Amino acid sequence: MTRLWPEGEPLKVWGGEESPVAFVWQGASHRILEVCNRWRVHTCWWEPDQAIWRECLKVATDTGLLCLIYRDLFSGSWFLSRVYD
Amino acid sequence: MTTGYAELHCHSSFSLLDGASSPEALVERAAMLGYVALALTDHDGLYGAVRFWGAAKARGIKPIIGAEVTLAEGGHLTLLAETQHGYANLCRILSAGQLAGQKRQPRLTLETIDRHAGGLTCLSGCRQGVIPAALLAKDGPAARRAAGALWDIFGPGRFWIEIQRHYLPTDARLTAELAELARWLGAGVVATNNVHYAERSGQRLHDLLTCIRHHMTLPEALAGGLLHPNSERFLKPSQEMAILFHGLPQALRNTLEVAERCQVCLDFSSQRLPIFPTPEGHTPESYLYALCEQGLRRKFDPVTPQAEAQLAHELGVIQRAGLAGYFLVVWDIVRFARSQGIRCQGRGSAANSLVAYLLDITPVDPLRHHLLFERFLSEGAHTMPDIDVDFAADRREEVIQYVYGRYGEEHVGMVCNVVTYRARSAVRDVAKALAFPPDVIDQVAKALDTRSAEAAAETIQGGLSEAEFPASSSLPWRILSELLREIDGVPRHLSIHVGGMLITAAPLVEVVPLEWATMPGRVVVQWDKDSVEDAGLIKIDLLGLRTLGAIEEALAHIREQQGVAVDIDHLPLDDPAVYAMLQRADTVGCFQVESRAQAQMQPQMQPRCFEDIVVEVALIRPGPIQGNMVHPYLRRRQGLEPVSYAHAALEPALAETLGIIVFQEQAIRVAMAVAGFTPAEADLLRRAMSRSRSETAMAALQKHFMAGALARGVDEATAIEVFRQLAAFAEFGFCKSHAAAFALVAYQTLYLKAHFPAAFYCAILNRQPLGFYPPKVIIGDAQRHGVPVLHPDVNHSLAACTLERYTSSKAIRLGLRYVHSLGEAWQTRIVERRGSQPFGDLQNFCRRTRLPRPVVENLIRAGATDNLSHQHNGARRDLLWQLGGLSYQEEGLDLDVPVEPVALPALSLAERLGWEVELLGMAPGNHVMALYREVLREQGILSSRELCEQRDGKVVWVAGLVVVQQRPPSAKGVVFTTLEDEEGLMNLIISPGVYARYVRTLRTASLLIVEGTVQQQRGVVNLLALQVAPLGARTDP
Repeated sequence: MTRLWPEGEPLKVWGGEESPVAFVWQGASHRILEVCNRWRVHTCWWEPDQAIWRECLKVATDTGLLCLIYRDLFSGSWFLSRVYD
Repeated sequence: MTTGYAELHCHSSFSLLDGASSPEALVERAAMLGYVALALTDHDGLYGAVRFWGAAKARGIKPIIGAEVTLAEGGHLTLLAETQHGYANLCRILSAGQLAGQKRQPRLTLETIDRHAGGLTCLSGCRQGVIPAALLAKDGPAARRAAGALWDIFGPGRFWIEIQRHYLPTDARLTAELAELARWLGAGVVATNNVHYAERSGQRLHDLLTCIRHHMTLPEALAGGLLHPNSERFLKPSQEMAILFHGLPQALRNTLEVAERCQVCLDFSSQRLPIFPTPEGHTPESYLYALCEQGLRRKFDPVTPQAEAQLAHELGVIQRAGLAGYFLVVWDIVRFARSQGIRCQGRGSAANSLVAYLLDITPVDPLRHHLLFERFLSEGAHTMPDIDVDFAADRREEVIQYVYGRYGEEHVGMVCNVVTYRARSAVRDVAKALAFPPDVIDQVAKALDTRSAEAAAETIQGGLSEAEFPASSSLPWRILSELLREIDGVPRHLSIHVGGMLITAAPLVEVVPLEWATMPGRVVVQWDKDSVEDAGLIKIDLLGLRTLGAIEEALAHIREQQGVAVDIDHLPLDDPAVYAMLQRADTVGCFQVESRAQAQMQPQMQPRCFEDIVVEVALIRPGPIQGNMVHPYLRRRQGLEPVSYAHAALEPALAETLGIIVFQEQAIRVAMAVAGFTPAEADLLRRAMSRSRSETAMAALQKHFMAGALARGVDEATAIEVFRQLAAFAEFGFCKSHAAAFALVAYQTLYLKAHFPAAFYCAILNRQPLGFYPPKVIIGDAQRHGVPVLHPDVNHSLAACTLERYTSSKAIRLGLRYVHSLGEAWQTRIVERRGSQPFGDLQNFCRRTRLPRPVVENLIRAGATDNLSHQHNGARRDLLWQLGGLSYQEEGLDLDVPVEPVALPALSLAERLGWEVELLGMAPGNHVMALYREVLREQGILSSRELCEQRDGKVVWVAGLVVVQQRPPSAKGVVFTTLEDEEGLMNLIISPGVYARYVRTLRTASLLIVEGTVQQQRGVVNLLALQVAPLGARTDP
């Protein structure tokens, strides 16, 4: 079971782009224990409103979450897109 | 800045429809990033290798030559050439794979690679390599088997496990497994980035090319998983590669080790020539000398000291350059052609050479025409001379086969031609990928008049979309325009270069890979003519020129009809009839001097001697006209402007063209005279300027030029001005020897037209398409010159046009091939079944030829059976009626339905002409405009003859049939249109504004009414168009 946020939940992230350390989501803060995987997606550039360019991280947190967060490479902002149960 | 990384797996745009960047762009990027070495590994070929090698060397980067091969067993493999022997093996491998398969579908087996593995390094490949693919499919044993096999083939240290990391989810796992496999095997690991574009932004073009390759739109390709998920496959800075591979630093270090070992040179100047089989007791040099001595005595009677000295000089240069064999090869080819009655002559810079003249390769005496050997070949030049020979087009294939036979198929190859994206092809493919609707794509493609995709991009961006397709404003026009810019010049596919043949001493297959051409059984090398030249190889261009065949045919007609043998190769060059024709621009059908631009200039130039024709051929082309070279020359010639020279030293070189630089040979002489350049340096300057590939080289040469000029006491301002003139000229300059060779052919055609017009026009009509004008204009010109042109006739015509007695002169009988859609088989059948018994009537014709009914109908409507009817007027209606009642079959009895003779009204002239134009493309004996003449006269609309009598500046109306429409790229949007009526031709000049206003009419209507302003200047008449309408809108006959 997973929960999915197609629009992405805005996050505030500490620790820098290469090795994020923690993030705040909906007021609560979560420390990242492990980055399980990392990949980048760049597509749909032909529909400027729908272009996607992001770096995705699958992370495990100290709050027991396994989730997918990503950094939008156009704006630099971080989002949460999925939490795995 | 040095990097700790060398890229060993990199695709250029010569990985067709896959790589997005040119070899030069990749090298540029690598240089910027401080790479010490870069490999080029295009798919199954070395198409871009020479360009890559030259660019890398120029930037101080070590080029590594390789390829990514596709295996018949499946999968990709990366091969790199370590040594020259390895390079030869790579060529063998690639050729074997290409020739074992079909065009664009090579079939390469591991077994073939095994046989030629020496001197090569192998990397295990990208994710499509057998090993990674097996690991991804969780088939460890298969991966190990494949790795073991490759290890056995290449040996320790020559097979490496290739690892790529592109921020894909499976990267981590795959990397770990590949590293483990390498440990198990005892092999090293190398990091590569599988580069497909120089910079990240190249991803767009790469995605686009992927779509084009799969014939899909972008959304479809995305849905089908065909697009690479991200934009990481660009040439990265080594710091980024270090981050990607921070757990495997040896993967980066090893790239340098591999690069270090690779040492390949793509300069083949020492391997270029086949050994020419000289007769007993002769070396190539001595045989060449003997042949030249013979030629000298034949052509110079008496032999002058000047000729002897020039010959000695040229033979010395040729010998020191090691090119005696080259000349003998060409001499032999030309000798063979002539022995078979195939008309031929050399063209281009080779006509500067006395040796070429003495060997009968070229037709012009370089001493008489003040030519310059150094334009062709000079001491110390690093460029290969080019000898191009024109052959009668219809028999060129015989010559090509002779060369293959003489030197063997392993030593002969045709040079390829890289076809790149231009406006129309680009628009169709790009718009399709962007999912534009087909009808919009069609309209856009047709609306583009430009040739370059880049210019098309500008047109589209400039609001084409708004103006013409308001309904589709939501389509991604901006992206279309941007992508058109990016795709401009990208290679699309390879074709054969028209006549370039490569002959080598070493087996060709060790020098450059071969592959199938589209023509069945024909093999082509993977390099184009520029690459062949830059690699130091020698190519001979065996070109086809239809005019040569036409001349040969005309001579045959004259022999047959009049029993006269014209010695066309030794005409005195001062025939007044020829110059009279030129001066009144009466040149339709004549080689090189018939175009509209030529016809406009001839009355102003008034050519009086052969040298004038040479200047005309060189000068009167759109380039020099727009480059403002022609008008100054004409003004000086007419005494309207004083002849002046930027510097006195220029006078000897430029006196013949009144101080204007016209010929490339003059540019060389100028550089020598003003800056003290040696002939080789001067020619280098000229080449760098005209090739326009290296701005850096040109800037360097300017410095050198200025230094030389100043050292000779030339003041700075003058030196700058002279260099500017040279640069301005560089783009448009013509080779004088080439102009002279062509001027000779022009003279021959003018001579034939003047003295033997029937034979001349007949030959021209049999060789279409040829020249500037379509057949309908040719026959109009023939008729105006007193040569009647008769309809094709089933009782008189052959397939080709022939000459017939007609009253007291000769007429041209159009051949059956001029009837549209009458195939060759039908033409032959009519002639054969006619035999010596003419067809008596339609029934007789049908029964004997048994042609399908629709074919007979076409023949009737075209007027080819007029003589089979007893009715003089209304023959065609009558025959159609008869055909309707006629029954005939291939076999069995013919059953007739008795036909009632009925008096039928005659076809109107308009209907008859309409049928003829439809079926013949022309109306011999009549002009369609004659139908309208009475009505036009009533309305004050002028004929072509009346137009010539109007004064400059008057506004008039004319009407005519569109025969030519031209939009030269250098003319900035101005369109030149030629109209024809029954009295002659009319030249229209249509400005871009007027063109835009009437674009639909101008593109579709074949008969036009035009209002315009008369421009009468020194005997040349043009009409500057103001309004245009289709004829028929206002009047109907």
